[in-house]
Amino acid sequence: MKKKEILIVVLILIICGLYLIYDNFIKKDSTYAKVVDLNTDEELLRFDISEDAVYELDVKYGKFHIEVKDSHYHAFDVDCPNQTCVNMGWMPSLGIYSPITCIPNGIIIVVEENE
Amino acid sequence: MNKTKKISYVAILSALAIVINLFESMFIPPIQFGIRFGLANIISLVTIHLFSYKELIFVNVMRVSIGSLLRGMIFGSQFWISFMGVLFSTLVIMVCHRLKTSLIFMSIMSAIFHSLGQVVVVMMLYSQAMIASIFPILAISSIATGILTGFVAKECLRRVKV
Repeated sequence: MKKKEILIVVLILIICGLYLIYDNFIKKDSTYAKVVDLNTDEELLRFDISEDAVYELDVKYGKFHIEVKDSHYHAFDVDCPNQTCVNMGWMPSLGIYSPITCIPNGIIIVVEENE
Repeated sequence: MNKTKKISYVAILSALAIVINLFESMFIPPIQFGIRFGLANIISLVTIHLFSYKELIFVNVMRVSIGSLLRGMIFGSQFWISFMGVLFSTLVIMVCHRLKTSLIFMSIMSAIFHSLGQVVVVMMLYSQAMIASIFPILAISSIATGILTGFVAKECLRRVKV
C-alpha cells in the first residue's frame, strides 16, 4: 500500500473511533420512552430512561413491569401468554431502540424521537 | 484473449462468486452487529484485475441476482440490501481501478462502501435513521475484513494466469 492510502485508512479509523468514543462515553442526553396502547394510541406511561426505576402497569392479562437501569430498560414479570416482550431483553440493544411489543396485552414501549 | 476463453473465465468467476456468497451465508454466521467477512469480494477484486469494468459488473450482478434466487429471496428486502451494498462496492472498485490504487486499499474501500450501501438501504427501507450509528463499527470491521480479502485476492492473482 502507498503512503497516501494508509493515511486515508488511518483517517477513517480515527474518525470512526472518535465517533464511537463520543457515542459511548461522552454523549448523555435524557431520552424518554413511552408506553402506548396499541388499540387506542393512548399514552399510558412516559419515563426518563436515564433514571433508574421500576414501573408497574395494569394491563389486560394482569401486571406489566418495566425496569429502568443504566439508561436501559426491559420488561419483566409480565402476565402474558407468550412472553415475547420479556424475551426482547434490554433496550437499547446495540445502540438501537427496538420497540418492545406485547401483542396480547396490546401495548408497545417506544422511544420518543428527539427533535 | 479470445472471446470464448473470456466468456468461460467470466462464467467461472461468476459461479465462484455465487458459490462463495451462498457458502458464506449458510455456514459462516455473522460475527456480531451483522459483521461478516465478505469473501465474495475476493472474486470482484480478481475480476477487475484480470478483466475490466464490464466483466466486474456482470460478475457482481450475477452474484447478487442468482445468489438470492438460489436462496429463494429475490426482490425481497434482503435482496435490495445486498444489491445496494454490491452496487456501492462495485462503483468504488471501479473508481479505485481508475486511480490505480493498490489491491488492499481497493479491498478496504469496497468493504467500507459495501456496508455504507447496506446501511443506507436499511435507513430508507425501514425508515430507521438510528441504524446509521452502527456504521462506524461496520467501517472499522470493514478495514479488518478488507485487509483479509485483499490479501487473499493478492495471493489468488499471483497464482492465476490468464
